[in-house]
Amino acid sequence: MKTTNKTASKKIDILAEDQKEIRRLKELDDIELLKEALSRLIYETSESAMTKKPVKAAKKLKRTAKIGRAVSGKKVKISYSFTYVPYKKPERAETKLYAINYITLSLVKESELTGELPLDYDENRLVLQILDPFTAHAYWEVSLQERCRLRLGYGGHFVLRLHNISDSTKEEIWFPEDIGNCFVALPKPASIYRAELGYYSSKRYSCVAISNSVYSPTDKVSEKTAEPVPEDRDQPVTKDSVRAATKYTLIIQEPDEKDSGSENFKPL
Amino acid sequence: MINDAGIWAPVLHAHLPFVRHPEYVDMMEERWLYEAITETYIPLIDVFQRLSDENIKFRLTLTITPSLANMLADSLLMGRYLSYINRLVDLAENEVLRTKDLAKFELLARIYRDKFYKIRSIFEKWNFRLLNAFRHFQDSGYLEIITCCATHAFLPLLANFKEAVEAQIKMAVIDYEHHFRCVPKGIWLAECAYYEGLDEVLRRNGLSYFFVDTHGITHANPRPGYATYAPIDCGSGVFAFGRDPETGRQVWSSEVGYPGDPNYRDFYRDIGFDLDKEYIGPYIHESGIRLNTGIKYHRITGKNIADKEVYDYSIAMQKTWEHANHFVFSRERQIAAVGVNMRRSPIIVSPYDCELFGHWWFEGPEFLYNVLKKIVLEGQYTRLGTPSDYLGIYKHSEKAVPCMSSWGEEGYCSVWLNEKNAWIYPHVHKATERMIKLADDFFEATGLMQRALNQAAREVMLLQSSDWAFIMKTETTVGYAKKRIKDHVFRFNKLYESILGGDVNVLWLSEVESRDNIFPEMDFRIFKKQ
Repeated sequence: MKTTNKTASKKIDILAEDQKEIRRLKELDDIELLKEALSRLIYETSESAMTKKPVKAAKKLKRTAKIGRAVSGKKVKISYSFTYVPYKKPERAETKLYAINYITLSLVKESELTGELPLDYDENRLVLQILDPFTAHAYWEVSLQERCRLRLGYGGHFVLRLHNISDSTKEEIWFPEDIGNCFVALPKPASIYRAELGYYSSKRYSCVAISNSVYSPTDKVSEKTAEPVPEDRDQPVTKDSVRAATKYTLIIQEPDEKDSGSENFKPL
Repeated sequence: MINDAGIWAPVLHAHLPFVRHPEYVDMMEERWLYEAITETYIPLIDVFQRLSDENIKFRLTLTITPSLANMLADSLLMGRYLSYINRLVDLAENEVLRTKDLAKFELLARIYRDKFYKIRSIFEKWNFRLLNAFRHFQDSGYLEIITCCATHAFLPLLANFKEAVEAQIKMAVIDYEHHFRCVPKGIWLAECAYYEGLDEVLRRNGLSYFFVDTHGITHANPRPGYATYAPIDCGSGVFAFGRDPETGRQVWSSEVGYPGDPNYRDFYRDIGFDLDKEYIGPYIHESGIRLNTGIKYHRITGKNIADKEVYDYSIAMQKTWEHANHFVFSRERQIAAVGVNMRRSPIIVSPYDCELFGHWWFEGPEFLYNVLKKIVLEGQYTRLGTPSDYLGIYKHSEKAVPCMSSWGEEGYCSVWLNEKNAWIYPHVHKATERMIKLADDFFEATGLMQRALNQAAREVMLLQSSDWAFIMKTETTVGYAKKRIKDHVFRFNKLYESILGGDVNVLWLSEVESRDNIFPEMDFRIFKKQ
C-alpha cells in the first residue's frame, strides 16, 4: 500500500512538473524555445542512455514528447528503443552498455522540407569553368524577357563565342537551345578564356551574356627553373645532424612529475 | 653535398560527407559512418595506443574533415553507433555458436567477436567521443591533425565566388579550433584540388601548408629543382607539399599494391549476403535489403565471389609484416638515392584515404603499425615526420606557383564535372551567389533573422560538398546524392525567400536546424563580400 502511495505521489509530482514546464513555455510565447528545449532533452537522453541510465532516459523522452505536443499543438513523435547487450566475457561481466536506438522528431510535415529543383532562375547568365588544360564547361540561361526580345523561333540560333584573351583569338560554337550546357575544347593550355553567348537572327548578332574569365592550366613542365634557395639559408646536413634536427621536432619528453596529464610534446 | 637521411610523412585523410537523419529509423547512408568507426577510426586509435604503450615515438599527419568531426561529436549519431556496435557484438556471439563445428570459420568468428568487444570498449573508454582520442594523441605529440574545407567543397569549381572559398576555409579553421582547442597548421584541400591564388586565402586564415598532387609541383611555374622531395613556397609564405607517386602506387594500386595480395581478406564477400535471411535479418537493413555486416570469412582469391577460399588470419598478419618490411626497405633506398642530389634532406609525402586502412584493406591498420614501428626502431635513413616538422627544419624553399590540379582521375576536375553531374552547378552557384548577397544585405541581422541566415549558410555549405558530384560520377548511391542536392537547394531557397520577405517560420526553421545541424558555431557573416 505504501509503495502505491509513493508511486502515485511521484506521478503527481511529475505531472505538476510537466504542467509547470508547459506553462513556462507557453507564457514565454516563444515557440522557438520549444524546439531548443526538446533538442536539449534529446541530447541529454542520448548521453544518459550511453552512460547506463536507460530507464531514466526513456522517461525523459516520453515527457519530452508530451510537453512538445502540449505546447506546440502539433504532432511531436519521438520513437525510441534501447538495446542492451551485456558483455559475456567473465572479466567484463559487470559492464553493461545501453544505446539509444533511434529517435524521430518532426514538427513539420516531411513534404515541407523537400521539393523539386527550380527549372530556371529567369536571368541571363553564362558561366565558364575549367575542366583540364584542354577543356572547359559552359552553362547558360536566357531570361523570359530576353527570349521575347530576341523573338526566338523565327529562324535564329544561339552561338557561343570563345575568346582566348591571351592571344586575342576567338571561335564560335552553335547551339539550338536557350538553356543548357556544353563541354568546350580549348585550343591552348595556359591561356585566359572568356565566353560570350549571342544570338544570330537574320544575320543580326545580339550579345546575350558574357561569362567570367578562366585560366586553363599548363600541360607541361615549365622551361624556367626556380631560383635555388641561397646556400646560407639551406642547412647542408650530415646523417647525424638531420637526425638531430628531426629529433628536435620528434622527441616526446617524459611527463613532468607535477603534471598529472599524459606525455606532453615539448621541443628540446 | 650528400645527405643520407630524410623524412617520410604519411598523411591520412579521414572524411565522410555529413549524413545525419534523425527522421529515419535506420538510414542506410548513416552506416558509412558506423562502418568507418568500426573498421578504421577505432582500429587506428588502437594502433596509436599500442605504439604509445610501447614507447614508439611516431609522427603522423591526420586530416579530420569538419563534416566528419561534426558527426563524431554528435550525440544522436554516437548513440546510434553504440546501438550498431551492440548489434555487431550480438551477431558475432551468434556466429561463434553457428560455426562451432566448422573449425576454420569458428576461429575467425572468435577473432571477430573479440575485435568487436575491443572496439566497443575503446569507444566506451573515450567516453563515446572519438575526437577525444585523436586530440589526446595530438596533444601527446604523436599526431598532427589538420583541417580540410568545411564541407569538402571542390574549390576550383567555386573559384568564381571568392567569398564562398574564403567561407569554406574560415569555417574549417573555426570548427577545428572548436573541436581541437588549438589552431590548425595546415590544410588538406578537398580532393587535393588547388587553383592559382588559393594559397592567399590559406595565408589569410593562418594556414602554413597544403598538399597537391605530383603534377601540381612538377608543372609549377617556375619548375622546382627538387620535384616532390621538398615543398615549394607559393610566394605567399604558404608551402605546397607534393604527393610522392611511388609510395602511392605501393599502397593504393589494386593490381600491384599490397592490399591486392591473395592472402588478405576479401572486401566483397560478407555474411550479410551469404546467410539465410531468417538468421541474418536482424542485422541487415530493417527493410530486408541485404548489407555488409563487416563479418567476412574469405580471402582475395579469384574474381568470382563464389570461388573464394577461407581467410587465414595468422597468414594475413604475417603478410602485413612482410609488406611493411618491403615498404620500409623501399623508403630507405628511395631516400638514400634521392638525397645524393639534394642539398637538404628530402621529404616523401604519402597521402592516403584514411578509410583505406581497415575498411577497404582489413589488415591496413596492422600494416601501418608495423611500418611506423619499424621506421622508428630500425630506420637507418628514414625518419617519421610531418610537414610542420620539415618546415621547422627548413624555413625557406624554392619559390614557385603550383599548377591547378587535383588527385582525381586525369588529375584535374573531370571527376566532379562531367555529363553525369554538370546539372548541379547552376543550382550550387546560384545558391552561393544568393548567400553572399544575403550576408552583405543583412550583415547586422539579429535574433530570428540571424538564425535563419546561419541556417541558410549551413544549407549552402552542405550543398557545396564535393561528395554528391563524386557519387554521381561513380554511380554508387546516386538517388541519395540527388536527394541531398534537392533538399539543400529547396531549404536554402525557402530560407532565402523568407529572409527577403521578413517572415521566417520558426517551427520550420527549428526543424531544419535540428536536421542539418552541422557547425553549431556558424556565423553567416563569413560569406560577406570582400
